[in-house]
Amino acid sequence: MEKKDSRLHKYWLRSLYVTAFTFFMLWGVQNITDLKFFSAFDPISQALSDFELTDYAFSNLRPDPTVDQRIIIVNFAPSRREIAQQIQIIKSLKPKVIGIDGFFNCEGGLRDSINCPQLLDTLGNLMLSNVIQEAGNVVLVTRLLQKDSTSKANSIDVYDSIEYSDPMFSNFSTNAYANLPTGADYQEDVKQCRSLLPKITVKGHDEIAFSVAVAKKYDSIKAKKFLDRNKYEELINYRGNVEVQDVRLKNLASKDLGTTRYPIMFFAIDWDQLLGGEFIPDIFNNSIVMMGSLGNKIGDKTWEDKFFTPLNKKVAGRANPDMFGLVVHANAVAMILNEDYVNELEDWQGGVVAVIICFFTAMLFIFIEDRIESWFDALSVLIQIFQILALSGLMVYCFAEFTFKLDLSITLAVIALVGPCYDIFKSIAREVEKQLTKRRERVLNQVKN
Amino acid sequence: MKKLKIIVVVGLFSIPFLGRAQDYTFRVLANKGANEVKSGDAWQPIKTGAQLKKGDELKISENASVGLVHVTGKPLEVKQAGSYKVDDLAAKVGNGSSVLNKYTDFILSSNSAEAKKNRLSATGAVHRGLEDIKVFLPENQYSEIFNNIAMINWESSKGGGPYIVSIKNMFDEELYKVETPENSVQIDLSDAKFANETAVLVEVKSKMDGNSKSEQHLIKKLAPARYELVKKQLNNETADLKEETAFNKYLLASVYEEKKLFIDAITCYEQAIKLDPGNPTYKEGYDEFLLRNKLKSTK
Repeated sequence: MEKKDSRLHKYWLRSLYVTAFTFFMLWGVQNITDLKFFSAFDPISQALSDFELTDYAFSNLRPDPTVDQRIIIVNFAPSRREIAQQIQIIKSLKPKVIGIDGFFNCEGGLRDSINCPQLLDTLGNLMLSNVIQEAGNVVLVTRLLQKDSTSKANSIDVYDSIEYSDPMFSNFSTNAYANLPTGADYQEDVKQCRSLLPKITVKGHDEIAFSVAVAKKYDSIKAKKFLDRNKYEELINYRGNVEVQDVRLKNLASKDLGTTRYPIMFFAIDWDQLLGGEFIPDIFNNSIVMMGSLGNKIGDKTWEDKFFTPLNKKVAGRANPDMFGLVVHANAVAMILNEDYVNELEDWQGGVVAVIICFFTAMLFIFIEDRIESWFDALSVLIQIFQILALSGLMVYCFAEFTFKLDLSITLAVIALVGPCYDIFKSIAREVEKQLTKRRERVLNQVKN
Repeated sequence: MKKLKIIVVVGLFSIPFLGRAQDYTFRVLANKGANEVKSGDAWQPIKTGAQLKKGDELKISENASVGLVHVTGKPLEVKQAGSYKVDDLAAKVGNGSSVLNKYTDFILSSNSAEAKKNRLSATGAVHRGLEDIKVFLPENQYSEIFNNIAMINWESSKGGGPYIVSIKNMFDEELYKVETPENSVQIDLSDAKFANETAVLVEVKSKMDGNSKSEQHLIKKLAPARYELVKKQLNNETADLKEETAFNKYLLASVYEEKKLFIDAITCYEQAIKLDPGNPTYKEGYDEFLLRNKLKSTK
């Protein structure tokens, strides 16, 4: 009995050492890769840097989402005067809120007719200002910016300035920032969007995101509930897209050229359809209207304000962007109102899971080596492969079935490392033991002599 | 007992709403192109938000699509040209497969046709029109004309008149040629020269600079069946607009625009301006119409 206890104790102790050594190695590997010695010759990791396993769930595996019929996407007309006419029509149909995903100013605050020709149409601008004021339920976008000094200080996600539309418009609307975390350096850069930042403090004042402001005007309780989660960054639970194909070549018409699997998830009305009255008015009653750019016409293949999202059929590598910014905001609004948030494993919880799995894997390896040493190499590799596949499948399944992001990347890393680490650990332990034994023999010999 | 009474009363009040909530099969989420729905006997253009009921029929035109939402909330996109019965479309909206089934399908479909497709579908080039002269006529899919009179207007980015307007048949044979110093010309398709043609091509070029010319634009007479249908609809809708006034022409232009008969709408706007040249409403309305339908671009 005592012998059995002592063996068990040995297993526990060695497993603990191997676990500690594996995490030490992981830390070392992470620091070496941080130095980016191999980045220049590493196209695979560059191509996969934006990839997440849960993207498979979004694009292919989760249950089909249902359409949110409260949200109507309206494409912008080409001029401010016509946008004013659009709002005039929409306003008369009594929607609960009108979110406008567009700026009515000129970048850099320029006000001359060469740099800001939009100002030439004074009547059109007055019409737009007037109709925004009359509607009374318009949310306009703003942009969070950094001043030169803040930018030079390399401050990350610290904003000290806000770009608004011209006061003749923004004075009569609720204003909320449309910035999304994308990794892009500027507006026309490649943009990938998985999440939103619900609330940011700018100069001591809390600013809320555009989608949150729109949701708040529609249902303030649900918006508050969302904000009360108090998460700095929220993953967007994408429902679907507004992606209408405009293919004129007959041989391509039968092909599925869509970039996402759920191409129509909200009501969508093109600007000329709205001005021409090609819609049934009752869909607007008490609805959420979100106006913005979907290209010159719905079906336009432009990449302006288009994002890569997890709904993209192509989950990694080079692909076409799939979703207009306006539709990204609409997805965020739908998530807030449906309360179908994406929950995540906390970082510390991910760490604990990694330690536990690493510990028991190490224990299993020690046991196999102890009992069936000749099979150790084959079995250890098989166990590692099985664990990685099973956990990857579990991550995808949890997301698809429960909308829970089970981020086990540390666990996957330690599983990949625990085999080699165990081999290295054995060699080091043997060498240390040999040195200690030699020293003990030398000491004993000296005593005898 | 009191609770039971409340439930019964609430239940009774809910019945009409429940009935109303389920009296359609699909709702139109998005509509692109000249699609139509047959509800009863008549075909009507589809509008976003329209309800499609059992027994209705849907007609999708070329290069068009319709996004629908089933009464269960599930979306369905129809984009192949043709006629569809609403009942058949409803049968396509399945109950949705489980995550496990989807996972299996995904694994089995991963060796898809991705690597087996044409590799020369894209070119390293762009389209550039010869549009030194921009003719205010619609793109070919909206080139139908109901009346016989067509007003052809244009603007030139360089040079000026005189211009030569050529009307050709579909075999590129010239049927009519006219020289004009103005920026517009009127043609009458009932003229003997065009009587046998179902469609003609219009091209405008500068007399001084042969390289300065417009793209070819199509003007297509309505097919007899469609002509009769439009005629019937117009008789019903424009009975009060028979009098030749500028305002009536202006209203008539909107009716033609709604039916995507843009060439007829242009003629009406031109006639309205001619009848009341001092009134800026018609000129502004005409400009907005041209911009709205991309017949003219903003400078």
